[in-house]
Amino acid sequence: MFPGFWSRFKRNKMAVAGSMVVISLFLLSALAPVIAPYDPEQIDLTNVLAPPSSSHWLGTDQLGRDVLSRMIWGGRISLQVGFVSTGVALIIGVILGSLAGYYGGWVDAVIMRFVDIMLCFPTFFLILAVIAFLEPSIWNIMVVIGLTGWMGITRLVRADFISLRERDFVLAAKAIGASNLRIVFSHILPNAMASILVAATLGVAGAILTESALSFLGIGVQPPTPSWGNILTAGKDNIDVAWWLSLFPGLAILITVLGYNLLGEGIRDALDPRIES
Amino acid sequence: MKKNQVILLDAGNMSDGQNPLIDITSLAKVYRVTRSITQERVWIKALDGVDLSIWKGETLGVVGESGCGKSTLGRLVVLLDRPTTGRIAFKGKDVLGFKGETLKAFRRQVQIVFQDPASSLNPRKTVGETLREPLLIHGLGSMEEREEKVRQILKNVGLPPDYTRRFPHELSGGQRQRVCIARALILAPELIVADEPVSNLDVSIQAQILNLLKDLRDNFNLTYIFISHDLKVVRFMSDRVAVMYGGRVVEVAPSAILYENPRHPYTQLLLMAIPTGRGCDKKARLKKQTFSTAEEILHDGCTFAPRCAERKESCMTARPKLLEVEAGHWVACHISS
Repeated sequence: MFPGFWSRFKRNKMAVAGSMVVISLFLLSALAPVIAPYDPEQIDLTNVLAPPSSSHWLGTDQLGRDVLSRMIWGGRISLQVGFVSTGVALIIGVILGSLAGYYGGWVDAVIMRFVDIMLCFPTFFLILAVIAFLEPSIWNIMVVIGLTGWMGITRLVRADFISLRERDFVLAAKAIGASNLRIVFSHILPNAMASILVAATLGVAGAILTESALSFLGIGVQPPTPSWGNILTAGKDNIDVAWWLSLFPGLAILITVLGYNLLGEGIRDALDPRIES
Repeated sequence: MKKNQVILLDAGNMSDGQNPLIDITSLAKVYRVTRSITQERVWIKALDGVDLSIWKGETLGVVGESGCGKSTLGRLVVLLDRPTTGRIAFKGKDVLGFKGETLKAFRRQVQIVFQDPASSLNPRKTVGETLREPLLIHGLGSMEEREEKVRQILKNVGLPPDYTRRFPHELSGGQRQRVCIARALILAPELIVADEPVSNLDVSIQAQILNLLKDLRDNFNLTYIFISHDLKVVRFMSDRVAVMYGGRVVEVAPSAILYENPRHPYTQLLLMAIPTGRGCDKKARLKKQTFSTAEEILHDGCTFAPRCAERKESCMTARPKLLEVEAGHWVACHISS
């Protein structure tokens, strides 16, 4: 579908590293029940805040739970949040962006003013406010992150549609009698996929970061369900005695977000036919 | 085929009183452009009252410099855009009223080939998918029949049948343009608008594509509106030629007459500007614009007057009508007619 993509992508070392990170995270999450050494919610009050050792590689938390196991299961949550909320944002963004870009005129004006209004809100505080009213469950969080993250994708899709709808192959499709639906789904959207894919990858990173922040503040994923954000909260309370509680989830978030960003940028560069060595 | 050609030539003479295939009456198109920074709304006149008739089987060449409205004319004829005012009749029926099924039927009969073969094919579709699409949209034939038709049409445009699996980026410019022609041809249309079909091709490839278009015209009894800025190409292709300037048709004539005896000062200028290999003709240089006020340029008269060396007072005030100066030769000029 994208000629020359792989050869260009493979030459980009950072992008390959990013994709390795993402693939490992997928494997860890998928195999969590198998590879996690302990039950992530199993409390052992005889062994609280134990430093990293051979039996607990990343130590234990204030309730004696194994940090490594909690982080592996927490990775699942991050991945879930990243993909579901990006999915929500993509659906809204692609539909509104297509409408605005394809039809133009007042449809475009209304949608883009709505985007402008949404962008005026400080997203994070909007999420805080919404979560305060709703149950802070993981599903609510995913949907709310998605509902506040679609504006960038809308703008991107709109811009692609505006440039693509004037291309000769779209006019030719119109001239052979293709319906609007066919033109949008069969001619324009496949050609806008590249930038949508990149936006989605970067969006996953952003969503993971937002979820961690919400969980850290205690309004995201609720204990005892593990998430990198709420492990960090425990780490904050015990930072003078248990550095491992803050360091490892922090590193996990850093590496994951970096991995997705490198992957997204790698995809973008590899899809750009102008970058040719 | 011989018989066909005789009929074609007859129709090309257009003196037999038949109804034209396409009849264009006072067609105008005005675009409203909003300047991005000042939000100032500007009206741009792309077509300014064009009258033209195209008869079945002929090739009407349309020449003029960029911005003269020739491509707009092509887009309006195939209904990719709606005119601001005016009328287009196809076989006597008003095409601007076409909707739904009648519009679909019209699309089958009138097709377009664009200038840039690189952008007129969807880069994500194979040649086979591109060529199958028109048949699918119009629900023609069974799956096997469609495959057969695609192979047949590839043969007609001089491409091997196994090219169905290729993507546009795997083809050369000339091959892409052949695919575009095949796509226009597969619905068996009567009229094809060719909008600068060879301008983006190498000279050696240009000749191949032009010959292909000529052969297809003879084999499929096609009518062409052949738009180009290249006078030599237009002469090679056309039975009649319409010269456009500033959104208006300034001269129409059978091509032999137009090239031998141009009457409009603009046509004369264009013909003198054809490189002959013997150096530049000094007379072909444009007279410098000598206008200082906007009113003088935005006048009601002849659009060419500001650049015309022979202009007189009436050129600035009265719009010249397209008048027949000899059989089949129409000129819109106060001086020449």
